[in-house]
Amino acid sequence: MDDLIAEFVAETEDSLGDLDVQLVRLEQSPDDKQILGNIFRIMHTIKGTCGFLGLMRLATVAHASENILDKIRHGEMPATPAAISLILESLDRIKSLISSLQELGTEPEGDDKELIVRLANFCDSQEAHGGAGIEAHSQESSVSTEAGAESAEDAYIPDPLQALFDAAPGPDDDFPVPTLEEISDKTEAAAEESISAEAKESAIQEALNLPVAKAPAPAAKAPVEGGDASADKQGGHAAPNAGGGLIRVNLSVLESLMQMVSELVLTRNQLLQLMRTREDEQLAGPMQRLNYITSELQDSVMKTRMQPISNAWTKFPRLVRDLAVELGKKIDLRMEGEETELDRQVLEMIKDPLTHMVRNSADHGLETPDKRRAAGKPETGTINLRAYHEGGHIIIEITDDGAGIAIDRVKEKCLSNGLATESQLEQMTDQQIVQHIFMPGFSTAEKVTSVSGRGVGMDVVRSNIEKIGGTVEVRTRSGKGSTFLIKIPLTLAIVSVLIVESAKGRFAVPQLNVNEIVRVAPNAEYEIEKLNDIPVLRLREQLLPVLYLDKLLGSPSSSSADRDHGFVTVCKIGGQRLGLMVDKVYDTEEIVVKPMSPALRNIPLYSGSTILGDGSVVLIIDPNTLVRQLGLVGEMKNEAMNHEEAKYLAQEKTSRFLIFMAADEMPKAVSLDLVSRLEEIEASDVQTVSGATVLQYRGGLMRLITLHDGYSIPTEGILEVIVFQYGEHAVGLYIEEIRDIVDFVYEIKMPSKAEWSLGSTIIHGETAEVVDVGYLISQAMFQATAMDVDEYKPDTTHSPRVLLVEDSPFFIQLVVPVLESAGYQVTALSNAKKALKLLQKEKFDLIVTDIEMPEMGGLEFALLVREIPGLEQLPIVAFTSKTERNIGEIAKQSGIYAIISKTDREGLLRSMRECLPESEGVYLS
Amino acid sequence: MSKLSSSSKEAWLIVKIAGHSFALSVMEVQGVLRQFECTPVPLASTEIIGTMNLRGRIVTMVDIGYRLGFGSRNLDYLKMGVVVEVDGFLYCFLVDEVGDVMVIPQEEIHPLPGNVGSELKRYASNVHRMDDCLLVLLDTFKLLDYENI
Repeated sequence: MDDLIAEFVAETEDSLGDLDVQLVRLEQSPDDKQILGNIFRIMHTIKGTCGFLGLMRLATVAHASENILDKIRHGEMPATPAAISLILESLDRIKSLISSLQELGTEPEGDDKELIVRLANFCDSQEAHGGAGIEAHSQESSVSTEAGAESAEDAYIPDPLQALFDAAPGPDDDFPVPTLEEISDKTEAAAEESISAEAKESAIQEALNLPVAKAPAPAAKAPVEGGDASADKQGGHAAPNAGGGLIRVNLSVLESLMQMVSELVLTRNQLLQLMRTREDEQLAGPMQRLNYITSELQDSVMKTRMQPISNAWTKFPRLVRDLAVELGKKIDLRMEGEETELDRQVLEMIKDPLTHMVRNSADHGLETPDKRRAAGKPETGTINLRAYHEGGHIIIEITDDGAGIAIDRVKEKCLSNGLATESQLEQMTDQQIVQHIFMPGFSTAEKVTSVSGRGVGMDVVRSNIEKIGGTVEVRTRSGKGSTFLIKIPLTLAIVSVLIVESAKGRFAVPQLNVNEIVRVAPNAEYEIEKLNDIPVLRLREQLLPVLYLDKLLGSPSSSSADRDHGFVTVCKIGGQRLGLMVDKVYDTEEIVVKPMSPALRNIPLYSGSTILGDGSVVLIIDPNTLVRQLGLVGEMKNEAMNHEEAKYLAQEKTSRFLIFMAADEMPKAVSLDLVSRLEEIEASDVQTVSGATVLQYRGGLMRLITLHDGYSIPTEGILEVIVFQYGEHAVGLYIEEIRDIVDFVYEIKMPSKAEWSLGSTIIHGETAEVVDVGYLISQAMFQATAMDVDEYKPDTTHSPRVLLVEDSPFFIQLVVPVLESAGYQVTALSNAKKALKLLQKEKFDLIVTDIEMPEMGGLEFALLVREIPGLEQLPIVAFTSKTERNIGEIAKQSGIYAIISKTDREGLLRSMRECLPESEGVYLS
Repeated sequence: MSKLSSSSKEAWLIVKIAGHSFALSVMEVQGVLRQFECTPVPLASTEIIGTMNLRGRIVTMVDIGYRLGFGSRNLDYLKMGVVVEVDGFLYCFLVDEVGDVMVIPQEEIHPLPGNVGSELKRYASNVHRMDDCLLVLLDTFKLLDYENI
């Protein structure tokens, strides 16, 4: 009996999954007789089997819902959402009964009167509305309505039980058709008119087959698609016989079979490796055969583990339907690629993450019908599930056409949860920012619903997917919707890896993560570039951070020259791309992952180990650890940036840049706003006056400088010179060639070490270094005043502290060096609010502020400064890029000492000197 | 461990580590290796010499002398290996020499004297007095209890 129950549980679970799907379909097309027929048959099978096995609670619940289904089938009752909900509810009850049956082996105590009465009452009320047909209708339902649940049990149970026992022949007996018809008369009088003879027969035969002949999963055979159902009818008795070749096998048997085949594959690989080195004609034949058979065997065993992804999807229509009702949304669930097969184990592991993501799409992704209408979208939102193969992996996409993920909210959340700093976020693309939703403790839902948004969620989804060697990323477009992309291996048992060499050892990198391999060498097509000590690879418009595997392995570093020769495996790990530098790349191999010994589990760099075809042991690199390593490097970088936040402040502003070549091979860029003129000058006009290179220019002498010393100015021909002019000073920068003038969003990708450089950026696919004009000017000024730079050391303890408030990073870069060289200690901030905060904490001698700034302008800022106790008299100098007539008046009102034109550097310095107490000696008098 | 109490006689494999005699319970011993090639594991702790392939299974090579406080010794001295299996994983203890298997009656097993080194106390709790020396009975499970090391 126990075996029977175990089998019943397994089969019924399958059928229940089907029922969910079918019922939701029925709700969408209430008139589809085919679907109704399927549902009725599945429910009927459950009822019949329960009765036979003496599972009374199950049988009664199934029976009561069958009554409703029966009425719908006869057209006595419409398939309203209310009716479907009630049936779904009883299905849930059946499910919970089944699960306790599975645990305990018997039905749990308790009764279902309340539910049954409701089912019966529902049946009843609809009958009253339906009017006629009560008399003609089935005996059981009228009994149950009159006498309630208890009598329903009594009236119903003995009948099918008896019938089944009477009809049940020995296992070897055939099922004579007349007997079946007799049973059908007894068990289901009402079924006769509408259900076709074949369908009825198969339903009953399935019910009979189950306990007697142990035929597997009759419900699984029950056609799911409408098309299948019609095929059944044409094929007559095909349905009951179709499953004849199926048996149920214990999972552990399959697992151990799989394990052994995996080992066999490895041994075969080892043999093949040996065979390559020796030429033995006699062995070659059998070896080839062994190779072939092993491959075949592997394929066959793999097939036994493969299941269509629809197995994981069956519960989604029901889930989405319930969610739609609960959330008051209209949702259309579409599924593509349901037949895509993947390993049973993988399937199990992604069920939960998938469920969570579908819930998420329904809850967070899709908007309410009102909002959708307002946005000009159809009221019904769509969730699209799609599965397909790609390069030995399975890709699952979950797309919704909802509002998309609000990047701003993600940013806020990151900041408030301390997941990233503001400057880090500024460095990121929207695509990178949105990946933060997978971080622990993240949830953007403002309203916590029962559906999702309890702070656990996407991070668990990601860690579950990573556990099986998969990756997940999200793409979103505001107002258009989001797509979650899950990439998982076909199977966990055998993994394809790339074998690489580093630090004189071989290691395996999962193929799943490897996009391409690039050979790098100094001065070759691809080479490792260093930007602020961070190695990067420029690959098609993108700067990829590069990790050295040997460094990660802690091996004593080889010489830096060697380091730049080798191969960069370009990996993509959950939306993050990086390069992994290795010495050699061998081959890809199919390997069986073996768990790490506990002695080595504490090393995060490895996810497992394996034995290669040649018998050697290699360790498998965990790609997720690489990303974390990168995070560390990234933080170091960001720290450096925070340090000089104002200087490296990157803003999403398009600026016009002049691109030119000078000093070395890398293109240079300078903001066109800072350039006064471009000149072509005869080399003969250049003179050397007391060690400084100057040229006659517009009736005066202009300093001519180069980007760095030792880069000499030719003495013949025409020289290209960029002229920067500030106040009375003009400086010429000698360059080789003007390349272009481009508009682009200024964003420092990597800071630079060179003093004259602000860092590098990418302009139309080329790396270019941005020239710090402020630095060049201040250098030129030192030399112009014949000051020995080495001897000049600003006395920082006594030099006045200046707070510079300026929203333009360029101007900051320009002014700070000038002020510093004039002996001030400068703290630069990008906005007035930050400045006010800082003023509360720190003491400054002078404020220099821009007038035109977003959020808070300089005038407002000046007034607010006066309100801070103790700062009533703090001198403020402002500069502006506009020239207005009543500027003096405005200054007076705001308590500003002077307002100076942005281009008047001398004027700025003069005003600063004037407004400070004279005791503070200032250089550049 | 429970083995001591359950059987009054137990067989022990005698090994030499840094000139000292130790004994490993034969219950966990899978075999003895006289030569081996191993692949180093970067980043692993000092005592892990590497891994090797033993008939299709991965064995972790452990310098047991290091664990017992003898320091990291030249691998040339570690000529032999004792393969043990714990929790489904194979380990190979590298030793100087593998001796005989010896059956020691329960009554001849004594608690470890108090004056031994602390490393030793962590991995052994009993000794057996032999004619010329004291045989320390190692506890394989404690030696490989990486969760608590």
